[in-house]
Amino acid sequence: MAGESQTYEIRVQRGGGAVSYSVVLAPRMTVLDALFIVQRTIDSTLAFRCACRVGMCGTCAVRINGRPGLACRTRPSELGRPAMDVAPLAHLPVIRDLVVSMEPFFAQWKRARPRFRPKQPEAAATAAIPPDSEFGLLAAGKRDCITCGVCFAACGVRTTSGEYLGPAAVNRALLRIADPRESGGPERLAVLNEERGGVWRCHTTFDCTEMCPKGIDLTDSIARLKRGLAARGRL
Amino acid sequence: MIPLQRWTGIALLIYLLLHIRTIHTLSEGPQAFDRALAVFRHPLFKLGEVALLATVIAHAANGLTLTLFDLGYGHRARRRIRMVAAVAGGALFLAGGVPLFLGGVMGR
Repeated sequence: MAGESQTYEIRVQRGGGAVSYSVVLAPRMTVLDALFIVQRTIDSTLAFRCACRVGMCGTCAVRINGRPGLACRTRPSELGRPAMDVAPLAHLPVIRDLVVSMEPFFAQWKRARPRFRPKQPEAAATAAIPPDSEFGLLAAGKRDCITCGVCFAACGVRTTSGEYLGPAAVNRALLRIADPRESGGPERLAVLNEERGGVWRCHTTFDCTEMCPKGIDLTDSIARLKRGLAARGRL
Repeated sequence: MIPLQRWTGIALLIYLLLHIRTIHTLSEGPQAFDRALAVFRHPLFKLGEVALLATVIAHAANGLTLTLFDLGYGHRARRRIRMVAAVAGGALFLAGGVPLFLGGVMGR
């Protein structure tokens, strides 16, 4: 492995305060590696969550130096200083240490009617979506959501409104609405058009887009739905 | 990020209410209106005028960029667009704020 190992101070938010640990990391090691080192060699009671370790599952989302992100995709060597603060995701209840309950996130996710409801459930042939079709092009940039909750934690509107759907749920709703095979619509549009919980609460600050570990332009999804609702006279 | 539009909007609403209250003193006679205007000649209120100008410019510049983004334009160039809006807003503020400050607060 290229480069030299370096000692980092990792301050983990645990209960009421931050607990400091000193760990030695190679340049390509991640924040998740640092947490594992702490748990295995310093304090086995440290609680955090992870599964795939390659940025596919979204389970290890935490706040690193105040910014939500995936612990397995963040390298301390790229943070620019030898100390880092690691805290649980904002806007979600803490279960223990860095482990949060995703219940509020998925409660909003369910409100957006994420399930696919086919127009022809009994159809024998598979409905093909060509990659160069309108929906194919839209979905290519939006379908990679791993429901990690990073956008939910980054969203400034969630700070003041517990009713807001959040960017991931809105993005999912857009994918369902734009899908030509989808049959559901009116109930989903009604939820999106809610005064306190719908898309109109978004302040277009791009925080969700900036933080999304999959690079999804979530603000664009919200803006598309705002325009769609306005065009349908649902203002 | 701070929702700039919300806070500048609330500040402008407060100003608007104060403005309506002042205009309302006209119904109480010319002397009452003159008394109300005399209060606003205080340097502290003149400083408030400079702050009001900054708030109006910030609200307008941010509002224009938000409208652009909500219409689906400039998402990828958002940092550059915000920078242009900030520089243009800053220039406007200097053009209007400096004479206001010198004339109203410093009395020149």
